[in-house]
Amino acid sequence: MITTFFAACVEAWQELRIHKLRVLLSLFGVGVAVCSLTVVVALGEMTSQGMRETFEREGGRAATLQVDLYPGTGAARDLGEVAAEVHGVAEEFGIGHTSLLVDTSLSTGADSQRSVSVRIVEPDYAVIHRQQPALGRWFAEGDGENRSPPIVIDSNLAERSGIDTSALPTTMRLPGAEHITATVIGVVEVPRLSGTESLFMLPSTAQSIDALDLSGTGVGAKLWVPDAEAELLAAQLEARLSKELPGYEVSAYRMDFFAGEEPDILAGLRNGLLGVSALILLLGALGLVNISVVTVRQRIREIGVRRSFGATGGRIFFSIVMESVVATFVAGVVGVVAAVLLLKSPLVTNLIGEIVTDVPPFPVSAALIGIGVSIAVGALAGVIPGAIAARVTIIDAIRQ
Amino acid sequence: MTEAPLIELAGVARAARLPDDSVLTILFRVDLTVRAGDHLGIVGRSGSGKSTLLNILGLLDRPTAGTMRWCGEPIERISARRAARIRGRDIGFVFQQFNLLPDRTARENVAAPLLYGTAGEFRRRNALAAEVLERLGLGHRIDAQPKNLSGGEQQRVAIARALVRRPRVILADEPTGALDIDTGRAVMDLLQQAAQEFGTALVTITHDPAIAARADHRFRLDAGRLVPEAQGSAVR
Repeated sequence: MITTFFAACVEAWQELRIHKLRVLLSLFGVGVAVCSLTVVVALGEMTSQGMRETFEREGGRAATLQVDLYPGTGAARDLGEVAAEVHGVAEEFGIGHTSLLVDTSLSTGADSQRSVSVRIVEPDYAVIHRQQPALGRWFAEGDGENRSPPIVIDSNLAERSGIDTSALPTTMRLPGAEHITATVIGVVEVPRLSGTESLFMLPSTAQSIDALDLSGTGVGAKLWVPDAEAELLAAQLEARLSKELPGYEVSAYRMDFFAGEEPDILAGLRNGLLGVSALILLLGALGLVNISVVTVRQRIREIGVRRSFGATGGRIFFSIVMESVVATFVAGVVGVVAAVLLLKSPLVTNLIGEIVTDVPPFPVSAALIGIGVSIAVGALAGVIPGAIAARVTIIDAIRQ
Repeated sequence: MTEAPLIELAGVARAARLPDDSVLTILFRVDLTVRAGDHLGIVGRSGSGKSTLLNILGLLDRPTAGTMRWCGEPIERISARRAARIRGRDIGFVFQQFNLLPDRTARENVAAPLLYGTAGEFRRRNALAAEVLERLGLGHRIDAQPKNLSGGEQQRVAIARALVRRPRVILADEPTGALDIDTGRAVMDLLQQAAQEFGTALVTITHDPAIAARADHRFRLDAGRLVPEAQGSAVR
């Protein structure tokens, strides 16, 4: 059985080697279809992964609870005090990863027209939001005690402020509070098209900046909790923090929208593109069947001679199917390689980089799907010519 | 106990139904026995049923009447699948038009039957093919394609292909039909010599009495009837 398989492969390879031009022409459609199918699958997966990462960066991993704390009249407390209460309650509930989250901004430039978003966070924010700097590092315990306040900036701010990101840590005048020299310890990538400029800083840094008026503002917190207990913990945290921070309006809810799942719109788009690719593949396969049937009719005498050597009808059928499979496998490999080269070309990588922050690696599953589909198409396209070849009458074939 | 003949035909007939529903009988009551190492020569005119007889002997076709045995076993008990296996292992064919696989080298052509052989034959196919080609004097042409070989060389490649699995019988259908007289003679010398060397029975079917006369046992096929020629008599 194994010998039969290898022998059929050898036969198939000889046939393909001899009829290179025919094979090339017949497989062009299959190769292009496999390439486009692989590109679609890979793009879908890369976009899906990119969007998932974006959602996680924005909303947090599953399950992330957002706690909003709004002070009522006369109830405002210092940011440090609020942080201490939140951490105390989180510790009590056995929650391992907690970070304050306050979004504000600094204005700079002529007439304060340039606005820089400021996100006040703690070291655990990176764990909860999978936020890793592309260059340098994230905040660590003890950073708050540095004399030069540490900050993590985004790539847009780095570019517009002329920061040499290859020499981190480095210092920069804090936009909107130029009298403060901050230490840039890390740079996070953001899509250039987004146009935003933002920076992350620790609560202790924020409290030392007069330009950031935090009195009376709402404070948020992110807590990473077990998925199964998220709803229950949200309710309990809300009740407990309301008690600890009297006068504050407290709400706790899940914020990890779409984390771990594919958005419907993306699935629909991908299915649509897959349908188009399948149609292209079908047309390619029909072309292959057409050429294979004509070729088999031209090879009747050869098939008769092979039958005289002892090849059974079944073996002839298997050989013809294998010819088709080996050919489409080769076309599939070429198509997948072309797809990888296309998606990894600087032009496409830059284009994807404009839209998503991280360009995910080429998904192996897309390559496997491409190869698998090409083999399946080869097997299906080989059935009709194989059946014709197997039914050849030996005597008539040899006489031709 | 004497060994059963390789092929035994007794009262074999072959008829075919024509499109107008009439029946055409091609062979009538043929009796023929092929034993190991025999050399049989069958001569006949075009249309006498030579190829039909060869097809029956080579298990490519079956009689419509009479008895046929392969190594003592009635042909009716041999399935198409097993007949294919027997053809591959025990029967070698040499055709008038050589029937070499185009665009393959001489070695690939000779190795082709080994693709349907045992695992050992498949693994050693290139070496076995080169060895037989060497023995037939084509050692210097093993990588040549049929289009670059002369008629005589092509027929020698075809003989090598028929011999490569060391069959028990070679069926040669007009083996010199496409060759000039001298080349045909040389090819027949080689075929006979190789058959003797390999201990293979040889059945030559030809329209050329001179070729048939080389055989130890000679027959004439005339309008589907096979008649033995007396030993030593000239076949005309």
